Amino acid sequence: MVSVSEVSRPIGIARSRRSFLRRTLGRQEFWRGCVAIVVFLILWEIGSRSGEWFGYTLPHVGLLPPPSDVAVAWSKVLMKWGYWESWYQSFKRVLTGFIAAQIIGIPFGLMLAVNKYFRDIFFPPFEVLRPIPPLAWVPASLIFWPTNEMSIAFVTFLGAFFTIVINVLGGARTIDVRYLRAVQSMGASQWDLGGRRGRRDDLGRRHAGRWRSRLLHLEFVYGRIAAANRCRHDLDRHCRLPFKHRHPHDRPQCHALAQAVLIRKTGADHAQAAQ
Amino acid sequence: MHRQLNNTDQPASVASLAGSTASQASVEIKGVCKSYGEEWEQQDVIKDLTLDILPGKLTVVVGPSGCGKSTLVNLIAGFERPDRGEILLNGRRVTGPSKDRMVVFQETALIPWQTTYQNVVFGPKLRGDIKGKALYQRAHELLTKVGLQDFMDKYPLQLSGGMQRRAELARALINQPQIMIMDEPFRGLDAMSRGLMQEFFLRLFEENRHTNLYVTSEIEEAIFLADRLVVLSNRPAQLRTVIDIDLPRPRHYQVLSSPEAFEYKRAAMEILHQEAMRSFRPSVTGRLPGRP
Ligand SMILES: Nc1ncnc2c1ncn2[C@@H]1O[C@H](COP(=O)(O)OP(=O)(O)OP(=O)(O)O)[C@@H](O)[C@H]1O
Ligand SMILES: [Mg+2]
Repeated sequence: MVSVSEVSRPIGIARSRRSFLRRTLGRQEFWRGCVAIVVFLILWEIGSRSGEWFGYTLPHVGLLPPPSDVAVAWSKVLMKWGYWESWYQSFKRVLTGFIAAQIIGIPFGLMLAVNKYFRDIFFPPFEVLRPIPPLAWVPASLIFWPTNEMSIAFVTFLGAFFTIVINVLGGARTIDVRYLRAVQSMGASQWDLGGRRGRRDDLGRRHAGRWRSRLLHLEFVYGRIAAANRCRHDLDRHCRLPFKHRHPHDRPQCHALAQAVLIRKTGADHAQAAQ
Repeated sequence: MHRQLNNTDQPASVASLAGSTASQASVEIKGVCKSYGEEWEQQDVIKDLTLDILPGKLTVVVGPSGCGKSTLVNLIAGFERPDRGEILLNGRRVTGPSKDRMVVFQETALIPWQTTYQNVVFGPKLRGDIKGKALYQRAHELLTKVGLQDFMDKYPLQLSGGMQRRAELARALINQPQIMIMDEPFRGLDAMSRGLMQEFFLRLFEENRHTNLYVTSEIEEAIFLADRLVVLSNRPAQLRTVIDIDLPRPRHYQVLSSPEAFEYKRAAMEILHQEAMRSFRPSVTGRLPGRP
């Protein structure tokens, strides 16, 4: 018989790491992608050198430097400190903006999903601001951020923020009522043990219950995210989980979080109504 | 499949696993009304329904499609509240969902991002009432019981329809419900697996005799399974009749070809047919369907 620890271990992490490279190399999609890139580079090279080779310069493409020249120039730049400094700076800006967008966007999206009043108040202005493209914010951000760095990070933030909020909201909204009901029957109402109302149980059990459900909650969220990330590699091909990417910006993590939290929340509401 | 059915012959009984003390629950449905929609276009779905679900019996509810069977399930499970009347479990009023009343839903409700094992242990883990090794053992035994011991680490979408239903049965049983409510649990399975699942379910029931409410729209399935057959009218659902099905247990599929079963079937069919006709007539005469 399998032991408990073996079962609760996240499935096949070591195994999937070891064979990842082999699986990728064995995949037709991978090689098709490689061929596509190589063909693209060759066409570009031919296009750029058309004047040199055929005596006729192709419009547009003919004006570009060929990829081989780009590669030579790049190898020279590689030696320079400033090049790497730029990498570092760009990373820092993008990461700052993106992480800030997550920190604000995920709770904000969850609140929109969970609380009607919050949604009534904050969703309309959000929707007014959302269609404004990040680039259009540049002048404004230059005015109200003291440093250049901050305004750049802010524009990155905006680029991610609206997408994240919409995804969290969408994820929370698409939970099937069956799941909510199923977990309600199994006692999901324990999420909301503290706070607004008392419980019949004595205090000790209340706290124990709270911690237990918090831990479980985390596990739930983790499991959902792991499954979302895993679904493309680990599961059989014909087994597509319903939360696969629907859009390049669609982020399963956000869906995961939103669904997990909302499942708890609904359980809590129900228990409250039952009191 | 056959191998899994034979699992029921193993000595470890689900009755002992799922706690046989919890089984003798009764449900009283007293004058329950439920309607949907705004006041000006209200649609009665259940009208003045009074019904007892007897302890240790398998009560099967049949009714035409759309008559309000799932609504009745939602009311008993506590997902929704009756507009009038009340529902009592062992004399106590039902006010919300609880693990006492587990539902196996019409469509699968296994959490898709959890494995079979994680799904099964979800309830006990959430409440923290069984822990560690004991929880693992109980889950393992139940999953063995339903023939899924080799599929513990599979995700629901990697299971076949019949396996999903069995996983869901295990997930419900581990919570030791006082009453199991099954809302057309085998709908959507092919005829072959449905037959096997019915027999499998019947073995489980006959072994532990938990109070069970089973909803279906198929008359043969109903007669095959039932101790008591409750026939509902067309929407708004009202009690048409209760037929005590007095066929010997343990039952096997052959029982359906016996003259008694045939007689039950004829009686129930007659009522259902009347109801079905009633639901067609209003639309023929141009009135709204479902309105008297
Ligand atoms: N949440 C709801 N809001 C409005 N109407 C509803 C709601 N739930 C059910 N109904 C209506 O109640 C009626 C009965 O629905 P219900 O799902 O209970 O039928 P059913 O007997 O389970 O049907 P089936 O055999 O097809 O599962 C239907 O006409 C449906 O339109
Ligand atoms: Mg139904």
